[in-house]
Amino acid sequence: MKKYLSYLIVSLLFISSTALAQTRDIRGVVSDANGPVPGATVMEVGMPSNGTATDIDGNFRLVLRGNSNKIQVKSIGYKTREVNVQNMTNVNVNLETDAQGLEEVVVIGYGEQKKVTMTGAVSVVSGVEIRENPSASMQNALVGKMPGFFTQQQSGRPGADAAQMYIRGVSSPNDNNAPLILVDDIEFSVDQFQRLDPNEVESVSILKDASTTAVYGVKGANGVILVTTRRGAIGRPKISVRTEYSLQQPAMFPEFLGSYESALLHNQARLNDATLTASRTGNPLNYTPAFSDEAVEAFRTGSNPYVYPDVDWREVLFRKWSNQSRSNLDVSGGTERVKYFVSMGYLDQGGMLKNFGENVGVNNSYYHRRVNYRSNLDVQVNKNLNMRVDLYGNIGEVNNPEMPGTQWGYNDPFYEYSSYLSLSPYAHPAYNPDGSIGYRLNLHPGRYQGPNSIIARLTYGGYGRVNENNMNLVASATQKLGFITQGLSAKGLLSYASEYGYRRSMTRGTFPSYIWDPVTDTYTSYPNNVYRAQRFFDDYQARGTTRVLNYQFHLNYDRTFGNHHVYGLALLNHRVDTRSRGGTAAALSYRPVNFRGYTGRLGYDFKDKYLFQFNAGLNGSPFFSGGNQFGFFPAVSAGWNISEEPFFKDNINFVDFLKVRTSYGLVGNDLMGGQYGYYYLQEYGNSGSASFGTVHNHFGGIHEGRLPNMDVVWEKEKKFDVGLEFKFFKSRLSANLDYFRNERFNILTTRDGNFGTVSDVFGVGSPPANLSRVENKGYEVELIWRDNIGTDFGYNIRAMYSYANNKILFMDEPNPAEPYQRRTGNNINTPFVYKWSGEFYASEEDILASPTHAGARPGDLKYVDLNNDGVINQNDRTYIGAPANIPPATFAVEGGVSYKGFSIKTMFQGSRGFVSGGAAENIQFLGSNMQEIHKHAWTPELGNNAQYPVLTENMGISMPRGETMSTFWLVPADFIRLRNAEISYTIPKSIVDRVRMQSIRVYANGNNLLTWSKLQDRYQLDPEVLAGRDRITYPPQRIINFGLSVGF
Amino acid sequence: MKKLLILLLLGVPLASCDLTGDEFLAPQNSSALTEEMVFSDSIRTTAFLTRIYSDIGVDFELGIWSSHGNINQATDDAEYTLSSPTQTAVIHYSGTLNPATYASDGNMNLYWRMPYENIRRVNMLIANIDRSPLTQATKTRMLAEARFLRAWYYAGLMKRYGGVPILENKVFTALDVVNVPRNTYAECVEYVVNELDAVAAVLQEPQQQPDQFYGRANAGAALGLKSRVLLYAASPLFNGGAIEVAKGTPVEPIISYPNYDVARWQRAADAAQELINKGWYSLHVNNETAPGYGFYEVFLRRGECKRNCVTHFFNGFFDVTALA
Repeated sequence: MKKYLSYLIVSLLFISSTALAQTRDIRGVVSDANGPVPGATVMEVGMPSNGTATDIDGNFRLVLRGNSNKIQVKSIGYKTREVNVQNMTNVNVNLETDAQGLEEVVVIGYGEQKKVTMTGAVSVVSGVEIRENPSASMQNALVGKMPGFFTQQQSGRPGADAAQMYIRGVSSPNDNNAPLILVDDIEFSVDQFQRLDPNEVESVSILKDASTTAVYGVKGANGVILVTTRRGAIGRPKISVRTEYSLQQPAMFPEFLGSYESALLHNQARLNDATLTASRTGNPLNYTPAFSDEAVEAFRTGSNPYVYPDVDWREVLFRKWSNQSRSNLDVSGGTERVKYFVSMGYLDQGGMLKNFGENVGVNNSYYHRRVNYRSNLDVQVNKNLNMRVDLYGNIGEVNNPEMPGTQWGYNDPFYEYSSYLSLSPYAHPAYNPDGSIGYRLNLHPGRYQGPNSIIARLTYGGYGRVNENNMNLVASATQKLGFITQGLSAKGLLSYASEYGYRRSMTRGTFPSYIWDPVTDTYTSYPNNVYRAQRFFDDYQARGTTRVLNYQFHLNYDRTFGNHHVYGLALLNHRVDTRSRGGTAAALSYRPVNFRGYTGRLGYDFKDKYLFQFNAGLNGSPFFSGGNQFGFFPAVSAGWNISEEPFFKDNINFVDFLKVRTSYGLVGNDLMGGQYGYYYLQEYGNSGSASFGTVHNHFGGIHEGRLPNMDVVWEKEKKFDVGLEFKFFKSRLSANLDYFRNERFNILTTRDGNFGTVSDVFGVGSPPANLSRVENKGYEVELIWRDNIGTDFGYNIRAMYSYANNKILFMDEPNPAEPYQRRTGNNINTPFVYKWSGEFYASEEDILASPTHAGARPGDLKYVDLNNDGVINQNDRTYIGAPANIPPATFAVEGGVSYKGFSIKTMFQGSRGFVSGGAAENIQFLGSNMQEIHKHAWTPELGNNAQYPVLTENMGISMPRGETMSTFWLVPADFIRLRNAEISYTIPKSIVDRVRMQSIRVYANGNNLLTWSKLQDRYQLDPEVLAGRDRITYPPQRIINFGLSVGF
Repeated sequence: MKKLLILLLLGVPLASCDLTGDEFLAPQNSSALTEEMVFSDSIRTTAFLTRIYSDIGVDFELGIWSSHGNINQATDDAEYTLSSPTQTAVIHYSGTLNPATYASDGNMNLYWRMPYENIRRVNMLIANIDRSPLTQATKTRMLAEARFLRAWYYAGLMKRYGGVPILENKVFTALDVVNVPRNTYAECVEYVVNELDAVAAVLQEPQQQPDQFYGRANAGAALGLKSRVLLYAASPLFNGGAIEVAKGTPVEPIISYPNYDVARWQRAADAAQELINKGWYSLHVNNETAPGYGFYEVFLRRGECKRNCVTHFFNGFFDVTALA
């Protein structure tokens, strides 16, 4: 009773004192050694909802309501300060820079954590840095920014130019290595991610080790990308406007030879073939040139360009520069009750192809237009309840030309540009003397017949247009549960993501071009008797509709007892995912696929010095049978802040911060490549038919599908990581070093048919089994040096090197003929090809004296006879070590200097240790349009100095294609690029004030500006191109961007 | 109290979970067929047999549609120009076929995988037909047809490879280790001949076969195939004609008879005579339209030559491909 009484008295006192406490104004300036600190948070102690932020001059004004008479001042990069303001109306607060980065906070799965107490491997890039890159896709802006982040940008097509991304390389041969992407805790697809507007992004973190990814359980093995978006802060409304205009051109685009040189080379090939036939058969030389002397002479002089055209198709089809514009408007601010961040963005990314359709009133150029919108609201309902409502999405349109009649149905002008048989320089004249669209037939042998003039097809063919709508809603409520115990809170979250789209096209197949006869000056239409374009035909296809409903329930605990800091998280996560699915999972299309996850985290630190954390995920998936539905994924980690130890602190002065940390745990991967489905069920299907009866009567058949596997489970990965973080010399030098070893096991493997050990005598598809194991290990080094000289001049340098190389430890591999043909032990992406000896067959005698393939001829590539059996056959193919497509090493060097308002930044980025190359229409003589390299083809005189095998119309064993691929064609593609550069000027405050603005910044930046690559020794290709690609596709772009950013 | 209520409401989902496979994680309804649905239904069981029929033209295809040419390119009948090492013909002629180069897609599928797929289907049918609501007479006929088809696929394999693994009625399960050695060529011949003799006794004579069964195996087809198998067995390549490197090795009896025996010719002749003596078939002759026109007609006239063409078993197939 007495106790209750005292409670009552205390609370009465509290109420009365609150009532008595007068609200009073306090003004002040927050500054550091160099001047005012804008954007610092100023909070009244004891009144967690009463706060403001400093303006650009460091000024603030706060109405005090409580009675602590203290304010707390916080800003990123500074130590937090509490100031007693009793009896003060004006206060100057000096902030000390946080040399150790004690206050730095890192976003991790389902929460955030102080960087000093982190025990896991995480890399972060801020939204500000991302916005320095003008690329239209988020992925491309992240390249080189974070150690452990690997990318390959294979295309530059508007709307589809995002780089492939991997965290710490790849670990599974099943093409299911895509990291999990979460935007504000909501799962995003790669496509959604590339449509994000960088203006909305606060930061991007990647989670690399077990301790940070185990909370995602079965979705964490490939690493996790976490995006947090910008939110409002207490303060007056801030309006920012940013507008940018960019010029784009291909970073690398092949140039082809003109008609004269091409014709000579084609004739040379025919002569080579005829000479060889004559010498092998003993018959007289039977040589018919591909181009007559008259034609060759006309090509040389250009005397008759309509009959003997010499068209520079690059000039005719493509723009010198394409353009992109982007504008953003955002408003943010808030009161203690409501904080808001509202943003709109518009992107218009143009394409390289000229807009031929303009002439007939349609736009069939490549483009991507997108509107992004976001409204992030935080509502402090009362002292204990905080609610968040985010509504965001984008509406986009991606356009491409329709080109009826393209060979192989590629529908791609870049393919035609590269293809000799589609579009050689003498294929047809672009335009006739009267300006009509020109055409010619049968000028050169082998040309693909049928398709009309490329200009006619681009003009009349129409377009295909994809419309996309991605809309997301997230609502959450966080309730502090202090009445149960201090530090406990609960959070409920509901999100609904939806995506739908459709593709509409307008196409037609019949339209004329004209063949001009210079003798009679008459025009004949092609195709015959077609004198006008057919009308357009509409086609409409719905694209997959995706709906993802997610709800989460969190219980959070975080409390400090003296030197002991204890925190924990318990979480339930339900996800219902409905979307279109292909392949063997087609039966699941538009049926909800459910996922359930339980997640737990327990952490403890002592004096910020000894750090421990335990994370675990328990996840259920419907793809497996009863007892296998749930998987448990635990991880433990620990860290030691050595610099906090007295013996260290007192003796070593130049070290500000030094931490070692390590983690070990188990994570899973539920992406099953293309074979996603219920593995424990067997399906029968309809196929085949037979006709019985004296009168034809058709009967359908039924077959047994692949056998089920009741025991199948997901891929799992054991992840080990050890890291060292330090800051030296008053934090001028900081570094992150990591070593990791991952072992992926239980990798789903199909055991029969292609290269498995189960004989086809089995008679039916054998079920996938959890068999293969892959090791992936590597390291990351990041060094940052940051310093100022005086107050006006600052500079920084960052260097980063990431290495991740995988090795197949076990797979279901039958015994190969030769030990070097064993794939086990190699990198997943290592090509299996012939080894080129560095020589060409010099002569018929050389062929007889050397190991050969059937059909070898002088000037063919001489492969290494690996098993020394005197013949070159399939047993001489081998794994060549270096992988293709995904580089094992990537690095970046970044530097910046600033002087007053000026600042310059550059980043060089590169990758090494991988091979690439092209096939067929990319390089092959008479497949590809003729290139400089074909002029240096083998001749007896050039011998081994040749750069290309002998020219021939019937390429045999030297062919750059799947079966005869060799190390002649797959070459090291190591590269270094000037990936990013920016120069900017922030107009001085004094001038900005005069026009009543907050800030004005003008800048120019660029992406992918210069490239040096070993690949260029043989190819005119971008080094990040898909290895073995058989044609040119839309190349990645160099972007030069000019921008203006204004704050009101 | 209100707060506790909120907490409770939020906590309900946690409480409602069950770790051992609940409704939330149960598989979705699927439109797919299952084993139960197939073998408990007479029409679907019949369709299962039809599927086995639909591949009987395997010998007729063997890569002839492939731009890289057919199996002939592996022999001295033809020459392969492109030397692509992974092409089936090249793998065969350069002697690099092994478990690591064997790929079941492409032509290899037709040479090896597809016959064994159908052999398994026959064995599946044998194992499951009793579950199906069919009359005993129909079951007997279907089983005999199925066994004929199994012999047919073995005969195709033997023609290309010599002795191959004989599975009898084995249906492999996912847990079986498949390690079946190749039977000798002699064993394969005896197995196929015995099977054909057995089904010939059960299957209907061509004349008794109802019109709607035209195209299904009958006793004439069984005896015809037996005659063909014995004829090949007597021919030089198999009758003691193994290639030189195989002579005296354990491989020799697998790819051929180890020695020549003239009696094999006699046996082939007897088998042919057996069918001729049945009197079911006679030559279809039409030399009036054009010399040899009768032979041409045999392949085209569905049903008409029912009584006199031993090839009519195939005609069902040819009609299908013509229509496809």
